[in-house]
Amino acid sequence: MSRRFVCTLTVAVALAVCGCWDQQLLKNERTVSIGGMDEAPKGKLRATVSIRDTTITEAGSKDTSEIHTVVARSTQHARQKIDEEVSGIYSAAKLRVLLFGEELVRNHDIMPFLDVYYRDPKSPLSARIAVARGTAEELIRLKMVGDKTIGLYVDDLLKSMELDAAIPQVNIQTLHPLDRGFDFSLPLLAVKRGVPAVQGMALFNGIRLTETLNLDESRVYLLLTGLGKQNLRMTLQPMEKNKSSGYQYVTINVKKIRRSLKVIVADDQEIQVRLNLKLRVAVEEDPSNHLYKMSVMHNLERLLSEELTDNSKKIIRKMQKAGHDGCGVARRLMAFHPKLWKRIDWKKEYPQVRFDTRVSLEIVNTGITQ
Amino acid sequence: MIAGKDKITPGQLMFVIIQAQIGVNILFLPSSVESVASSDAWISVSLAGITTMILILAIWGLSRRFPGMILFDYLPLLLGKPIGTIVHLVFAASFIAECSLTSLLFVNAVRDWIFPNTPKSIVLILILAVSLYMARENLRAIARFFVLTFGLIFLMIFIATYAYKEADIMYILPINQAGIPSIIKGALFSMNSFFGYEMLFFCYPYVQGKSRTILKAVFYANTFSVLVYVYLVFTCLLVFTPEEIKIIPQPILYMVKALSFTIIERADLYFLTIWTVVVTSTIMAYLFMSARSVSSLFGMKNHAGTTPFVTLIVFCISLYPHNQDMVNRLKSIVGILGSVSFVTLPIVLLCISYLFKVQRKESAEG
Repeated sequence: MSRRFVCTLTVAVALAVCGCWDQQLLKNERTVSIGGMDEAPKGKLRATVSIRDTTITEAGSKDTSEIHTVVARSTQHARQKIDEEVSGIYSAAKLRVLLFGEELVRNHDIMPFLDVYYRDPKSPLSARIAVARGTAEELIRLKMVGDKTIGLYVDDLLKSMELDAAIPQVNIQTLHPLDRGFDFSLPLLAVKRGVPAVQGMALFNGIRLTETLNLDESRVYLLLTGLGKQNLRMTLQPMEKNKSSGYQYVTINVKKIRRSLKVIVADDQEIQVRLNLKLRVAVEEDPSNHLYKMSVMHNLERLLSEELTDNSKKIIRKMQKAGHDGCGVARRLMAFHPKLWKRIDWKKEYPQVRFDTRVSLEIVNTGITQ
Repeated sequence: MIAGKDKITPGQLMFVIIQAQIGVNILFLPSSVESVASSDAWISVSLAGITTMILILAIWGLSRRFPGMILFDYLPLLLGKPIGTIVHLVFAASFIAECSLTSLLFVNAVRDWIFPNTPKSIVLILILAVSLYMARENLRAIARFFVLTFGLIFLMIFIATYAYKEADIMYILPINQAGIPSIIKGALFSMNSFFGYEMLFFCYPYVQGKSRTILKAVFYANTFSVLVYVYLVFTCLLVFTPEEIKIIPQPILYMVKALSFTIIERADLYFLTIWTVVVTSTIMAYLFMSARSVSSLFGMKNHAGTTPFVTLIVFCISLYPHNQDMVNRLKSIVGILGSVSFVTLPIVLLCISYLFKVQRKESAEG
C-alpha cells in the first residue's frame, strides 16, 4: 500500500515538475531568419536582423518580415538591444543565414563575433554563413524578394548554389575559425539590381578577409582546394581567338575529380607543392566543334587542359598573395614534416612556396549529339 | 551460502561491468586527456585500458582465493580487524565519492546542455530516485536491468559515427608528437574513466560457473569498454582541431550537436537522452556498491536498508559544489581515493594474500 502510494506520488511529482523552468514556447518567441553584422564607428558593431512572422488569414498563411538594426558592443549585446525593440522574446535558434559585411571582416577578426554562437547550446550551428559585398544591412533591408522573405530567399539561394557546386557547403559548425593549417573561405553575396546574388568567394587569411574571387575563379578554386563536387559547370574559352563571336565558348560539366596534393620538402628545405587535378568532364555546349572526330576531341581536351592549368596558376598566385592557404599545405607540413614546421615562420614562407599545378582533362560524354 | 535466486550468469556479469564502466566520463574524456597528451590521447586511453586488465586480474586472483565471500568478508582475514576496518572505510568512502562525482558531472552536463534554468536539486532528485529504486534490489535484478539497457550504448556509437563525414586524419598526425612521458601521464589521467571494474569484488561470489569463465567475461567487458572509449576519443580527435578540443569540455556532445539529419535537429538532445540511461546505470552500480560496503560495515546482511541513507549522503555531496573550483577539488579527491582503493589496494591485498598464504579453506565452504 505505502509502496504504491510512494510510486504514485513520484510519478505525479515528476510529471508536474518537468518543463517548469525551461519551457520555451514558440508562440512567445520571435525567431530570426537572417542576421547580419557590419562595422560601426568606434569599434562597435552594427547588427541587422530580419524577424520572420507568419500571418494566417482565411486565404492561407503569409510570411512577412520585420527588420531591426542596432549598434551594439558585441554580438550578445546586439541580441539584448534587439530584444528591447521587438515584442516577444528574441530567439536566434532558428537562424538560417548569418551575414558579415565585407568591411567588417576585412578590418576586424571574425572570431569575436562568432563566440556566442559556439557557446550557447541552443545556437543554430547548422546556419549558413556568408559575406556580403558592401554592407549586410543593405542586403537584409531588401526585406522581401518576390513572395519570399529575405532570410528564406538567401538561404534557398545559397542552398541551390551549393547543389550547383559553385560554392562550398559552409555553416557555423564547419567554419572552424580555430583550425590549424587550413584557411577557410566563405560565399560572397551582393545586391544586383535589387536582388541578392552570389558573386563568388571571400578568401580569409586566418580570421580576416584578404581577397575575393568572382564566380569563374571560385569554381576553379573549389577544384583546386578539393571542395569541388560533381556537376560543377564551367564555361571556358579555348585558346583559339580567331573564331567569330558565339563560337568561342565551351561549357563543361565536371563528372569526376581526382585530385592529388603532395607537399615535398627538398634537401635544401625548400617547400614544394605538387597539385595534380584529373577531371572527367561532359561537354554540354560546344557550338564550333564536331566531336565525332577523335582528333578534334583530343585537341579540345588539350586546349581546355591548358586553359584550366593557366587559370589555376593565376588563382594559386592570388591565394599566395593573399596569404590564404585553402589547400591545407600547412596542415600537411605539420603532419608529415613536424620538425620543419617548428622552424619556419609560415606567414612569411607561404607566399614563397613553389606550386606545381597541373590540370588534365578528359571528355567522357558529349550529350546526345557529338 | 548464496541463494540460487541471487546468482547471475557470466554473461550478465559482462553487462554489469560494462555498464558500471561506461558512464559520465565518456563525455569529458577526449578533452581532458587531450589537454595532457594532445593528439596522442587515443594511445593514452588504450594504455589505460590495458592497465585496467592487470587490475582486473588482481581482483580476480584475490576473489578466487576466497570463494563465496565478497571483499568485506575477507578484509579482516587479510589485514586483521582494526586495519581491515580502516581499509573498509576507505573503500566505502571511495564508492560514495565516485558516485557523487558521477551524479554531479551528470547534473552539470544536463544543466549546460538542456535545462539551464531548472534547479540542480530537481534533476539530481529525479536521477537518484530512479537509481535508489534499482540499487535496493539484489544483484540479479540489477544485472537484468543492465542487460536490458545495454543496446543503447550502440545507439550512442551509431550517432557518433555520423560525425566521420567531417573527420580529417591529419589532425592526429604525426603520431607520438606529445612524447612518451605525456602519453603515460595521459593514461594515468584517463584511468578513472575505467573505474567500475571493481564491481567484480561484489559480483564474483554471485556468478555461476568456473573462475576462468568469470575472468573471460570480465576481460570481454573491459575490452568492449576500451574499444568504445578509444573509438569515441579517436573520433573527437579527428573531427576537432586541437585548439577547439581544448575549449570544448564535452566534445562528443558538441560533435553530435552540429549534425542535422533531414527530420531531426539537435541530435545532441537525443544523444543526451540515451546517455542519461547509461549514466543512471553507472550511478546504480555505484550506489549498490556503496550501500553494500556501508551495510557490511555495520554487520548487516541486507543492503536495502542502508541504500536510502547512502543516497542521501550522495545527494548532499553532489549538491554542494557550485563552481568549477569545487568540482575540480572533488575530482581530485575522487582521483586520490580511487587510485588508492581501486588501483593500489587490489594489488597490495593480493600480495598479502599470497605472501602470508591467507585464503579461505575449502572445508569452510562445505
